[in-house]
Parts: sequence; C-alpha cells; structure tokens
Amino acid sequence: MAYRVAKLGRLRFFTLTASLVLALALLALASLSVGSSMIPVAEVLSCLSGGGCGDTTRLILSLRATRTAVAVLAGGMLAVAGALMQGVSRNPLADPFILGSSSTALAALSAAALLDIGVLAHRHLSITIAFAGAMLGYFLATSISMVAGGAGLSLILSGVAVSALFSGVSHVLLYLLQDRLRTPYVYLLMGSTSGVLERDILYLAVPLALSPAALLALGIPKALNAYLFGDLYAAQLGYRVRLVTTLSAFVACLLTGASVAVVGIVGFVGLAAPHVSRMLSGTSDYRVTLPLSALAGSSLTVFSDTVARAITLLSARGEMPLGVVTSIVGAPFLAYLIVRSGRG
Amino acid sequence: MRHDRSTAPPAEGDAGGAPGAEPEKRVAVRLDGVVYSYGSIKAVDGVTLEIWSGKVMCLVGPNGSGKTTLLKLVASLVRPLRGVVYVNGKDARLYRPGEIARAFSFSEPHLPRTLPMRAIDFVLTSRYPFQRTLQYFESEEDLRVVESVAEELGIAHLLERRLDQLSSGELQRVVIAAALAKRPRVLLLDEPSAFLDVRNRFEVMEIVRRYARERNAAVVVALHDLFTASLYCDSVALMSGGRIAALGPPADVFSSEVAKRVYGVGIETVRVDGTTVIAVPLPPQPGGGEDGSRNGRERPDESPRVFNDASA
Repeated sequence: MAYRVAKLGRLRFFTLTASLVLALALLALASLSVGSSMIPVAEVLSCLSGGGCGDTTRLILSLRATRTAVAVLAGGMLAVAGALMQGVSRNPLADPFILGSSSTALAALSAAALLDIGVLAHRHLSITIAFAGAMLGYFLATSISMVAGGAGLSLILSGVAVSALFSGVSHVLLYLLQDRLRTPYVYLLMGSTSGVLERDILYLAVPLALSPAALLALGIPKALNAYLFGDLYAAQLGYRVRLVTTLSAFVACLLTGASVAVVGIVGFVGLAAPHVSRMLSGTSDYRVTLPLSALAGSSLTVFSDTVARAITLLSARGEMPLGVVTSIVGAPFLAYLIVRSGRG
Repeated sequence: MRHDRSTAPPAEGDAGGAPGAEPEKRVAVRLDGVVYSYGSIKAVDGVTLEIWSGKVMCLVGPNGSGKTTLLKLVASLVRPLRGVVYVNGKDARLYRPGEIARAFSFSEPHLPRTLPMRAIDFVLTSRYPFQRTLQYFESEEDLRVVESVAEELGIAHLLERRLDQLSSGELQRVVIAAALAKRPRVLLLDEPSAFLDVRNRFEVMEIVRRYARERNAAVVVALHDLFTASLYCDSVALMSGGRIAALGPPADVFSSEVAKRVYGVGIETVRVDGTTVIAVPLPPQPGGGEDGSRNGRERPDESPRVFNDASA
C-alpha cells in the first residue's frame, strides 16, 4: 500500500509538473501575442522558431518577451516565497505581503530613493536594499509576535500590523518622490511589468535559480515538512528548528526583495499559488508543493499580465497595475479549488 | 544540517533481535542526577534512572510532575542543566544529532494539522534522518519499512487519507506508526492514549509492548491512566514534583502508600487470574478516609522508594 500510494503520488507530481509547464508555455505564447499591436499566435511561433518574421514584429516581440519573462520569473519567486513563509509560520494565511516583508522592502527602497534617486536605476543596489528591508520586516513581525508569546495567530497579526504600517509609509515616501520617478508611483505599490528592461531578467533569474539550489543543499523542503508537525517533532528528527526557519525566511525575503525591486508589490500570488499547488497535488509535502507553487505562480502572473495589457488596450486609459489583476483573476480560481477540495 | 549515516548508531545490538535467542537485556539510557528547569520552575529535580532495552517503563504522576520534561531529557531534546544522560554508557552530548535522531523516537499527543498532509507523508517524515540531504524522494528501503509498520498497525488503508480526515483512534495509530517507522532503539511516547477509548488504548499499548519485546527496544510511556499502566508496564516510575517518588513493578508501586500520597486519592489494587494486578484509583471520600490534601506538587525529600529490581 505504501508503495502504491507513494508511486501514485510521484506520478501525480510529475504529471502535474508537466501540465503546468505546458500551461505556462501556452500562457506565455498568448502573452507574446496580445498587446497594442496584436500578433497572431502562428506568427509568434514562426518568429520564435526562426522562420519568417517581419522586422517590426521582431522588435515588438523582443520588447514583449522581456515583459513576459519578468512576469514568469516574478510570479515564480513570489509563489516560492509565499510557500516558504506559510511553512515557517505554519499558517496557511501567510505570504510575503501579509507577513509585512513586501511592504518593508518597498519602504526601504523608497527611503533610499528619497535620499538618492539613482538607487532605482541600479538594480543590484535596489535589490539589496529591498532584500534588507524584507528581512527587517520579517524580524520585526517575528519579534512582535515573540513578545506577544508567539502563540497561534500572533505572527500573522503582527505581520498584518507591520504590513499596514509600512504600506502607508511607502505610499507617503513614493508620493513625495513621484515627480522624480519615470513611471506613475502606483506601479510600485501595486506592481507592474510595464517599466521593465531586458537586463531585469537577469536580476530576477539569478535569485530564482539560486534559491532551489540553496533550498536543496540545506534540505529545507524535508525540514519544513517535519517542522509542520511541531518544533519538538522536527527536533527529534535531528533538525535545528531555528536554523531551518531562519534560512527559509532568508530565501523567502531574498525572492520577495528582488521581485519588489523590479516589479513592485504584486499581491495574492504568494498567498494563492501554494494553495493551488496543494489542492492540485492533494498534499502539503514541500518537495512537491515548492516546484508546483513556482509554476502555478508564474502561470497566474503571466496570465494576469496579459489580461492587464488587454484591459489597457481596450480602455485606452494607460497601464493597469498588475497586482490588481492577479487578485481579480486568481481569487475565483482559488475559491473554486477550496470548494472542490472541501467536498473531496 | 544532516549528518551522514556512516557512524555507528548508539545501540550496537541488533534492533531486530536475534530470532530464537533471548535478546540481551541491558541499560539503554541512564540518567544520573539530572536537573532541568524552565526559568525558576524546576521541572526535573535530580532524577537518577535506568531505562532497559526490551522493557516497557511507564512514567506516571500528577500533572506538572515532570513526566514530559523527563522524556525530552531522555531523547536529548533538551540538555540537562545538571547531571548527565548516558546513552549506551556514553554521554549523550558526545553523539551527533543525526545519531540520536535515528535511534530515538519521541512522540507527542498533539499533532498540528493546519496544512493538509496525508498520513503517508507524515509517516515518511520519520525516515528523513536515514536519508541524505540531497536525496529528494524516499528510497525503496524507506517505503519497505513504512509498508511493514503500516501492516503491523493495521493502518495500510489510512495511508492515502489526509490527517484531518482521520478519527482520534486512527490518528493515534498513525502517530505510533510514525514513531515506529524509525525502527527506534528507544521509543518515547507522551500520553499515547489520551483521546482513545478503552479498546484502542489497549491496542496501542499492545503494539508498543510487542515492539519492545520483538525488537529489544527500550520503551518509556508517560501515562495518566493508572489502570492501563498497571496492565502493560514492566516497571512504573512514579513522579512527583520533578522527582522519582517510587520505582518498581506496577503492583508494588500502586499498592504503596507513596502512590496514594502523591496522587492524593486512594488506589485499590485488584488481582485478576492470580497474576495480573489492576490499579483502580478511588474517588476521594467526602470528609474522611484519606488525608485529603492533594499534594501532587510536593517534593518527596527522601530518596525514591525502590521496589524489587525493576529490570528483573
């Protein structure tokens, strides 16, 4: 029985991974074809495969591909960060935004930009600052919750407090900065891929590629599985609980910081993607849910980015922030999965 | 974070027990004057105790008498502030965390179930100490162990279910299965029968006793239920105020005055079939009989009352 269940679980994992990769590829194709000048999917394909491709189309595609790639990467990063934070807090409500890290990352970035606007132009600087801000936010939330006794919901509530405070702070700072920014300041508060440059892909790809390597080398997925059943349970399996949670939070904050520095705060992906992966796979095993979350987060973000572009196109009122669309698009799907898994 | 498995586990003896031959009974863990406190509250206050392989020892005592802390000390989950814990005759601090993790199972009565995990995912976590850090999925060996534990405990049909869909009785079996999936040399259970009905309670203790016998493992069970303790334990350690107040075979400990004083209630021992002794706690008589004062937190000043050799 153990064999059968384990084999079936693994088969399900590989099937789901393959289908999500396929879905992501299709969504990315759609994302390349939608925009102010619509390019038929057939033409996108022929351009990508090196076949016949007009110069204008090639130019538009290369610009659009940057946006698509950034959406794929940022979505995956937020999803992994969310899954890690849900593990660290043992709470299904946690994500980078709710625990306050996104807001403190943006607040740190805005404060730095207020001192020297050049910070925003240097991605390595802005990513470092946003990462430091995210770590600070995490430690602030955990310290408040520890002072409060550390029980139950206290981490989430302290996170909400930190998040609310620093959302406000970053709003004020960005408001003060707005005439010196290239893009409307709302974009940073609600996320947008409209201002990204080609080199941003690298700045996102490096942390995203490093994180699975780090997580694997440290054995984090298994450690988080054990940690889910209590501090003592993990300790009797030989894990050092403090180390496991701090390292996981470190990786989560790095991913959050990098994504905030490049696309601003995109909400909901970090919360929803881990749940989507759990409901699809039927387990919370982090070895399964971390990769599936990344794929689900990427798909959700690319789809939302495409929808945002389509809305911009139809309304002709300027760019729609990405974070707004991820919620509108993702929430009904999450609700559907909740109902379905509740019945199953 | 994970240590490699090449080093010898704490107990060199064959965990499976040599078939046919009577396995050697020996001290698996010895506590020597162990002290532990939470802040100013002394939870364990100078305990000296030997835990034998192949035997089931029950820890009984009122709430707050230090049973759980003592189990944690035995499992090296907390380090004693004073005194030494010896594992197989060697100071427990000299082992690597991985070695202790492979040889000791400690299981708690409460299992957080906030995120949906399947029973098999949970039981397989017990195999993590045997895997390399970079090993992503379970080996055939891990699955074989889980398969056989699931068969022994009759939970094979539950493996696919989510933990939050199990009844208390089923969940407790799954928890025991996880503890046994390490094939531990020392099995430590904190209140394994807390939420169970009589029959499930007996079955769990039956499984535990069988494991101790067949694998020559040392088993320590913290119990509130004196009735179950008297039926299934080879020896009973009665705790009071962080100390061992009495130690010996259940019949002797439960019929002693010490037990009545520690619990502050009367305890009747009943002999069934000439051999089995059952301890039955009696409700306090209104206004008389027992001295009535509930003095569970009193520290016995005299050395523990030790009845004839517990290991015999």
